[in-house]
Amino acid sequence: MTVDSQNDNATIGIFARLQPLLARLLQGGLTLLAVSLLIFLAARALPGDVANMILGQSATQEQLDLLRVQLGLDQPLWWQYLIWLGGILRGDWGTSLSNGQPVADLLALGVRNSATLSGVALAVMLPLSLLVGVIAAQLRDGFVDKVFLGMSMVANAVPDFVTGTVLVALFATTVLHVLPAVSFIPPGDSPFSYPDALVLPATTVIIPGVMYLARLVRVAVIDVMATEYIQTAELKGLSPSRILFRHALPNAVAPIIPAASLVAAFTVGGVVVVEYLFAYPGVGSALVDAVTNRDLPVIQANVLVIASAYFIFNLIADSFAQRDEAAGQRQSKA
Amino acid sequence: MIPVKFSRAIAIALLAATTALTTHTFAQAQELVLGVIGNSKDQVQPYTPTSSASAGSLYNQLYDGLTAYDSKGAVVMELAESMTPNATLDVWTVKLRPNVKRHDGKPFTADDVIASIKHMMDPANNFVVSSQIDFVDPVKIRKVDDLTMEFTLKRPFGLFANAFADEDFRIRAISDDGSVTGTGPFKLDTFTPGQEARLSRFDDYWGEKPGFDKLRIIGFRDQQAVTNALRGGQIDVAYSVPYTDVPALTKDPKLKTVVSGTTTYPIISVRVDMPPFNDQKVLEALKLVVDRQQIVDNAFGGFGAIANDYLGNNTACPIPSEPQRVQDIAKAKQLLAEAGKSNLKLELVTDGAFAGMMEMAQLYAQQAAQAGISIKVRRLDPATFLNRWREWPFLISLTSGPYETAALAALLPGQGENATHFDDAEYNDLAKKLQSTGDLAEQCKLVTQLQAIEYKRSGDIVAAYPENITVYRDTVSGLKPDLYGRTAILFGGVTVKK
Amino acid sequence: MEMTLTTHQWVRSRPVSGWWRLWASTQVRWGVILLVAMTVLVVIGPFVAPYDPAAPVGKPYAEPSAVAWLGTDNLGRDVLSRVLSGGVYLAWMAPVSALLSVVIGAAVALVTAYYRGWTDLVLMRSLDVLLAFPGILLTLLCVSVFGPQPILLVGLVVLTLMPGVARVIRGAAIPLLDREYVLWAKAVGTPGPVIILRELLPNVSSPLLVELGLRLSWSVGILSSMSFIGYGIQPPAADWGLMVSENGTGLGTQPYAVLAPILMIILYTIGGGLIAEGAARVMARTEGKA
Repeated sequence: MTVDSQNDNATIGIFARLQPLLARLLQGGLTLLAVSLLIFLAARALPGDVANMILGQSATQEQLDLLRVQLGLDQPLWWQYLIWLGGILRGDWGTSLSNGQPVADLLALGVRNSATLSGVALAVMLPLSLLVGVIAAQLRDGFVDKVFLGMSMVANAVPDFVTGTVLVALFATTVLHVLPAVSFIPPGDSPFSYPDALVLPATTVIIPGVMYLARLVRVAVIDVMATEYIQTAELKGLSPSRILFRHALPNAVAPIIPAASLVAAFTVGGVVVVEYLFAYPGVGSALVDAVTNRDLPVIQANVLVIASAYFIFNLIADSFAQRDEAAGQRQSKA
Repeated sequence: MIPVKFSRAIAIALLAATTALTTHTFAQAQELVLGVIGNSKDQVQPYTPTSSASAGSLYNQLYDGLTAYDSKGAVVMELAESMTPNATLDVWTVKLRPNVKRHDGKPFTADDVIASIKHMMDPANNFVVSSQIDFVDPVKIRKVDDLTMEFTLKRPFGLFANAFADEDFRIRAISDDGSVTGTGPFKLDTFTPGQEARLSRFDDYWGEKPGFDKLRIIGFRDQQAVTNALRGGQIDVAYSVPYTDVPALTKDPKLKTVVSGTTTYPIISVRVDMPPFNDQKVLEALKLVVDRQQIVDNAFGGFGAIANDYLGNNTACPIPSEPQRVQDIAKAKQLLAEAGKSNLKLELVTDGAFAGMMEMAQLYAQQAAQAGISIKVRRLDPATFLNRWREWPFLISLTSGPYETAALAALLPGQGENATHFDDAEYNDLAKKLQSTGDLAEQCKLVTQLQAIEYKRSGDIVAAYPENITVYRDTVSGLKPDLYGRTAILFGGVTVKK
Repeated sequence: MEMTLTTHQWVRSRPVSGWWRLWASTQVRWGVILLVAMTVLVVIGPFVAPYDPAAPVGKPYAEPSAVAWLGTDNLGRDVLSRVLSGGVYLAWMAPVSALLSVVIGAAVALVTAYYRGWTDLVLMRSLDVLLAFPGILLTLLCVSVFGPQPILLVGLVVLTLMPGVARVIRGAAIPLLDREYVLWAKAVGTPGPVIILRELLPNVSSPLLVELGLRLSWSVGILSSMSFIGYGIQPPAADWGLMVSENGTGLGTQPYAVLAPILMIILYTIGGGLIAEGAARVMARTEGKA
């Protein structure tokens, strides 16, 4: 009996774990499909097309019409979308309409650079927010806490372009001249060969991210510390560090995971402004450029990458949250 | 307590990391790094419809023209050694410069020229500016020998050498492997559109060679990024800088400035074929509200000269004798009242793609307000702007190129750049005469007459002739002023010391 | 049984009515004072500005002088006059956007959290699509098609911020579903909407107010970013975000043209931030007692 039921439980467990994952992957696929369709329609609804951009102001109507035929822009919309979708399903990203280069090549460059920037930013941001948040919570209402709250309010108030501009003025052009103001990374080189080019853009992403997340960590830690559970632990005479790291922190992490995932996703998608500001050659810059040029295959490819990154971060965060929920239930039952 | 120590340790570590990452200069000895605004639509082969600073910078190194404008505005021979017309100006014999080598080591011949011109003029290749050489009949170019060709034209054309001097008509060649090659002072090593081109000096170049081995052209997102890169030492030469940046840049003792003329500048245009602009009184009023000195001083930082509503400050010809228009609000108001248009409300569109455009639009709106004209400035993204190009009634447009080509492309009926829909019988007639004369003095007389008509009737409000400013690091020497604003991309005799 | 329920409801409703307790918070008081002061400044600013904000008064990027106290901008216009006139749009657009984002976001979050199932799936996935849709494309699309209308800009900000609010609030609401008072309310057959309003909403008020504060800041940020990239308030109108972008190149020469509007943006958002934060603390304290 016992053995059987355990076996049953194990099987159910695997299913229970696999099925939601499969469901989420399916949902993710559908989300990406919806995004790609929306982007396609949105980009086509924009006034002006790639033929306008290529031919510029000297072009006559006949020349525009001819180029549109050459680029296949005269085909029905649904057909153009299906052609593109068919290509993607076969792993063919197509070619850029504006310069004829393979989209896969352009995309590889941008993804490498953006992933590096986001990766560096997140690697610093996440531990730093926990640290700052816990410190602020521990020193609640003290001087450090008040300074932190003030700074976080200002950092969240200031849009990225302002933070970036101020950083450029401070470290690159006006006050000091220690860091490059524009992050030029030659197309053939790795961003890690130019670590100084990463500092300012990464810092611009890190500051508001840390200030937002650390605030949530702080609130969560304070909330958890105020619960009966922790107070009981205190009464039992457990050491403060044990309470903090073994009991408070794990419980404080759960509520901020959705926010952290949002920040992670936002970091991936939101590097657009930062990349733009620092002329950093990543996915965001490529997307802005492609939108300006109305270069549909390039727009689609970059959006798909950003959306997939967003989806993956959410999937990871959600499974964390579910695990913690389950753990929390087990703990409270025990 | 522990956390406080932690944060201090992190602060110290961060500080150390920042200090360790000292400014990384990726330019090496004998390499010149040029910063331009990058355009991801650029291609290596020169017959693209798009003209951009980044493409122009590249083409200028890889390719030569049959003829070219020199830095003082005169037409000089490049790949051609001579161009000789018959008496009726409809058959031209072109002799090529001997012993010119292509980058692939082969000699440059008449075949390359003929193939290039045929490619330019094939409508399937979308080389839109080919309308500027529409007098050429591509099937009637006869190869006499390896260095001689005979062009039989569709109609008599006197400005043959001028037309080919336009930068768009550089000559390319095709290598045996099908790749595009050129004859210019640099060979291409690698190219990523809009981002970077790496070039090496071509030691068999026929003309004046550059004094450095390697050239890198870096494409930046915008003007500000170029300026920042120059300040940060990442580039040696900035193709051009915003006017408002010049005071800050000149404070840096390591930076030097060359002020050049330019044929590329923004103008205000109205459609003269539709109301209210088809009323001469309204048009005159719109030209009278301009405070030209204020536009020169405040939109172009004082780098420029006031203009008098005609294109082409850079012709070698005398200027028309028309009086300089000055701001006259009372007269403008009176003209508007006479036209019954005292409370004009207009929308002025621009894509703000060129330095000074937004500034000029805003200043003009402010000046016009004094005469009771209410102007709303609207900035559009380039594709949106181009999508209704030639439809916008009131816009900031851009003129580019020497007078013979730029003005005629913008002011003759049916031309792609004629955003004002200007169609003036007298002007068209004089333009035709200009194109069919080979006599320089006669050409000048006609240009002056054409400009006088523009002053009176065209839909272009030309407020200022701005200058082009090239800023470079003091390690570079030999950059020269240029009437066409090419200071930053002409490297003959230029040296780099690092 | 019935006694417990009444007592429980009475306890729950108490913090909502505690406006005086809110006002007692120093932060809330300072926040309100700051916001009122900024609003007054923004409203009377255009009338006390020494010059026409659109007219040049000197050379571009002139340093501060007796003529122009904060110097001139990229076109030679008076920075002080432009700063005084530059908050009119933000002053109403930002609060409206923030409020709408939080109200709509919270509604979506609570409904989906409570009902789960298909509503949850469809709504949350739609929000995913929205979140994954690059904001720049949305902005470009709408502004290009409809022109930069203030209402449209507000709508875009709401679309950008709302999914984030929904995610955070949903995260806060889901653990509540296992709480005894919710389970109990469900067990006695209380209708869903009533549970959402009476049990869930008051219990997410703390994150809700923090969100409101943050989203107010972010609305200001997004609106000024739109101006910065050229798709927001159109020149020659004075607008703080626009001023930052117009004068960015002059940061080295005439920093006041950038710093003055930045300071205004910061002050404006600190007002909202202080209120939200003070409120959240009061709520937390009250709930702690209850």
